[in-house]
This record gives sequence, C-alpha cells and structure tokens, in this order.
Amino acid sequence: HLKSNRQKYVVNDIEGMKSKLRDFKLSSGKVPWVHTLAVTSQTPLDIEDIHDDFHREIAFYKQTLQSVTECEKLCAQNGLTVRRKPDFFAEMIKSDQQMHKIKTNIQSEKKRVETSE
Amino acid sequence: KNIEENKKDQSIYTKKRVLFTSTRGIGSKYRHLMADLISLIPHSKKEDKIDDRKTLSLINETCEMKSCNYAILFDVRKGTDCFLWMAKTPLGPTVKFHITNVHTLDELQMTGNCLKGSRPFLHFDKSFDSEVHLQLIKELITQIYSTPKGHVKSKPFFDHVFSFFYQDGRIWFRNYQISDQEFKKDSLLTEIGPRMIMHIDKIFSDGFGGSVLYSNPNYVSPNNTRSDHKLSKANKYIKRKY
Repeated sequence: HLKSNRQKYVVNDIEGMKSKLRDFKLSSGKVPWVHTLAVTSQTPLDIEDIHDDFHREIAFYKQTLQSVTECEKLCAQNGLTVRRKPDFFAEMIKSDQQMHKIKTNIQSEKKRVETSE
Repeated sequence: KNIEENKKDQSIYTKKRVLFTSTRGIGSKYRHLMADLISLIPHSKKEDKIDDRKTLSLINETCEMKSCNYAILFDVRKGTDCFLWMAKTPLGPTVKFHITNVHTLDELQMTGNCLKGSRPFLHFDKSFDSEVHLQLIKELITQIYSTPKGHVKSKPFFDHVFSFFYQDGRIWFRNYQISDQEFKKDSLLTEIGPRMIMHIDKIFSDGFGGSVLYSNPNYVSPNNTRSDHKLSKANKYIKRKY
C-alpha cells in the first residue's frame, strides 16, 4: 500500500528497443557459435518458490547441465577441444591458498557435524 | 584474398574490450566483486575511479582513449547500494541494474575452480526470448561476457559456464565449473562463484545517456525500500492506539 503512493514514470518503448537491438547486434545476430559460445535453454525454468534455496539451485543446476552437454556437442562439431590435457598447468581463478582454506573449512564442518551426532 | 576477407569479417567478433570502472566509495565487498569479474573476463581493462557521478557520459571518451567498446561501471551509493551499468559505448544501449545478494570468490562455500582466462560457455534461460527488453539485455550480456576466440590471454579449453536465469523479475547469475577429470562418465558441475542478482532498473538508448527506452515498473529503489520499512515501523504506536 505504501508503494502506490509513489507515482513512477514507466517507459516501455518497444519500437525503440527493437531498432536499437537491430543496430547493435553483430552481423544482424548471425554470429557463428564459436565466437559467442552462447546457448539458450529449450524450456523456461519452472520454479515454484524462488525463495526455496535448495530447489532453486537444483533447477539452476539441471538447466545449466543440459546446456553444457549441448555446448560440448557443438564444440565437437566445430572442432574445438573441450578437455584440458592433464599435463596442462596454468594459473587458476582461485589460488591454491584459497582452495586449501575451502577444503579445511569443509573438513572442519564435517567434523563438527560428526561430533555433534 | 578470400582468407584475408574472412579475417576482416572475424575482427568484429574478436576485437572487443571491456572497460571496468567504479565510482568513489565502492567499498570492499563490491570491489572484490569487480576484481572477480575482471579476472573472469580476460578482455577487460581496469580504469581509475570516477569522481563525478553527474558526468557519466565522459566514460564514452575514456573508452575511446583506452580503445574499449564496452564498459561496466560499479556505482555504489551510500556505501551499500550497488548499481551496475553495462554499456556498449558510445552508441549504446546502456542497462542499469541494481545488484543484490552478492557472494564473491573469496567466500568459502563454493568449491569449484577454473583456469584463469578460459573461455566460458554462456547459458541463458528461455525466458530471455519472451520480451524485447530481455532480448536486448541478453544480446548485450552475450557481447560483453563472451571471450573472443583466440584472445591472447584465453586458453583453448572449456572448463566453466556462466549461467543467466530470469526469475521473479530479476536476473540471477551463476558460474559453474565443468569437471570430468575425476568423474569420467558425465560432466559434473561445481559452483565457482561469484553470485549476484541483477534487478533491471532502466535501459538507455546511448552510452551512459540518451533517452530512456525502458524503465521497470516493478523496480523499487533501495532508498524507497528503506523508507517504506522505516515508515511501517514509525506508525507502530499510532496503529496500537486505535
């Protein structure tokens, strides 16, 4: 009821957005997949309660997994290697130090649960 | 000659750079988020903080000087409210989001990891195709987040995926690791982070300016949420009286 006090200036310029979209799309949207690596899911997400963390994350996970398999197929078709060679080492996003911290955190959490049981 | 033409054609996909910048007073949490995104986007360039919020359109010129064609601005107000601006400069469009529910890479609950600079797969929920403003946002996100093929800092393997979902009127961002080294059969996903929820506020026609093409009717600014909250508390005694 409080929100209704505030008059909002709402704009939805569909024609303007359409022409903008046409303007800034690269080669009118016909970008080869190898340049974007983007896929869109076949079906929209079906989540009953968005605030239910567990079910939401499961739904996110499942949908992403479908797309990943799709992407791997497309990679094979376009001649891109997906898997890293086991002897290929390079800098990671998270440092070893950080990964070690995460591991010890999980272990201590496990221990805590075990002792409480 | 044909090959040369092909190369020229490809350059529109591969020649891109994203300028990252923030306003002053960004605060540690959002600074970390920005650092995370910079390390995940190899074709990025960090620029000094901006002093004056009133002249955001100057970012277009900075982009030109630094040969960037996209820009991401973290605009943090009052030390708490983070607004994320994503733009194709200088011709637009620009999308302004309000960022909430941020988890950075430095937090401990997400166990995934990936190579620095490996090109991400991009996953979009089908809902993005349903409305024009979402299509526009999807296109902009695709152009900004996809690492160009053959970029110097990129790796020739794929080990993570950026996911964008449209739920509850907001865009949810997730980043998963794809691992099959240990689990030979199917690829398994582990979340790497960061996490964030992007609430669409407005879409502008140009780079950091121009006319408003879309303003979200369901968006409530954090200032208004706070004042609503305060008001509901303030009337406690009046309500009790009657």
